Amino acid sequence: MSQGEAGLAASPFMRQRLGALADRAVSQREAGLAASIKERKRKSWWRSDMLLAILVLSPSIIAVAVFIYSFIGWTFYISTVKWNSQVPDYTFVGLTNWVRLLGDNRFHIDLRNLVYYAIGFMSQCIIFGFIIAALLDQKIKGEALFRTIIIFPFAVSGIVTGVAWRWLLQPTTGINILFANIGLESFQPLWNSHPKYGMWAVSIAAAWQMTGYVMALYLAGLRGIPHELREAAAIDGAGTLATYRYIIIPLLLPVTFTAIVLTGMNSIRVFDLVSAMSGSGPAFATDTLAFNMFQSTFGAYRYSLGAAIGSFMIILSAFLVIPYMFSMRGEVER
Amino acid sequence: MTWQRLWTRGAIYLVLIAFAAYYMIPFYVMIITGLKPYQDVNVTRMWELPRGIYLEGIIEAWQTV
Repeated sequence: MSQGEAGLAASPFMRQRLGALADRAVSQREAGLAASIKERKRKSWWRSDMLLAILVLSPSIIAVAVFIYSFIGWTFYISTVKWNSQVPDYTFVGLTNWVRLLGDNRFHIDLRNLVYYAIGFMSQCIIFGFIIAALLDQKIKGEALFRTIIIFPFAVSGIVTGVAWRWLLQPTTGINILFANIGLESFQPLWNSHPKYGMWAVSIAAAWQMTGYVMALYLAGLRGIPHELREAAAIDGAGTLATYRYIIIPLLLPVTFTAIVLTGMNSIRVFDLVSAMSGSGPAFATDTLAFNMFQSTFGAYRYSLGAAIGSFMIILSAFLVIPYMFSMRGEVER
Repeated sequence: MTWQRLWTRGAIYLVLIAFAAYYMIPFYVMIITGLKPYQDVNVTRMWELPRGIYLEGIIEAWQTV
């Protein structure tokens, strides 16, 4: 409280100075912006280096077109034919596979699991990532050590994470032994063997791996916030919580958006973790779209059904990525 | 340094150490299990330290690779 009063007493002069500084910064930036726009308008869309650019970029454009987009198209095509045995059969059957998929009980369970997993995984990554980043930003001694420890799981492969957490989340051993040792004998969850909520347990393991990455995103964002803004907020009498609520969290909105898109895409495509932890689990409790696709395609040889699941996953990811691309384009043009 | 400031600094370090410990748990289990001889690897005693350093598991893994 005393800090706030001191800040208020000092404020008229300081505020004037800060205001002048901010005005100058804004006017400089606007001048630079106007100049760059003028320059851009003067240049025609065809520039002399355009030919070179096309020439240099074409190998990768062709590779992406062939190895990504044509195969996506191929998958969509396979999902409309009758290839449901080991022998390829290209008889066109329209949307039969899709109708079959949409009525499939396992597919419904997969969608439910996706919702559980996405909620658990995204909220853990973003909340823990932000808290750790905000704490590490407080001029901590040994920050590099904490940062390394927390981002290290990101370097571990999904299969290793799955195996380690499979031990830890055994209902009769692992973490449950630790709980029993500290007097929580009654709190013995089934974790990923739970027939209905097993997916939440998988999301714990996944968030363990991914939180460090989200933390790094937030830490970079926090370091990018100009120090004057925090000082100005402190001078205006804002406490720590108010500074975070009204200054820092709104300014980190683009980072949060990036984190949501990245973790969301991760939750759609999760495969390695569940296949190492528990497979599809009891009553498909830890089954995912990708695992279902793998089993229908290479286990049951229902290639067309597998292709339909794959295409569905692509459409789902597109709903996440396309808004992100548009927002990024806006950012670049600004 | 006031008492309040000391408290907040202490709390920040405590939370960070708790998070770091949480992120180290799977590595701890992985490493101590890797250093145990085969007959000692047992899920009910997974938290116990190995009785010494046994590298047979690591050597065999290396040879398989």
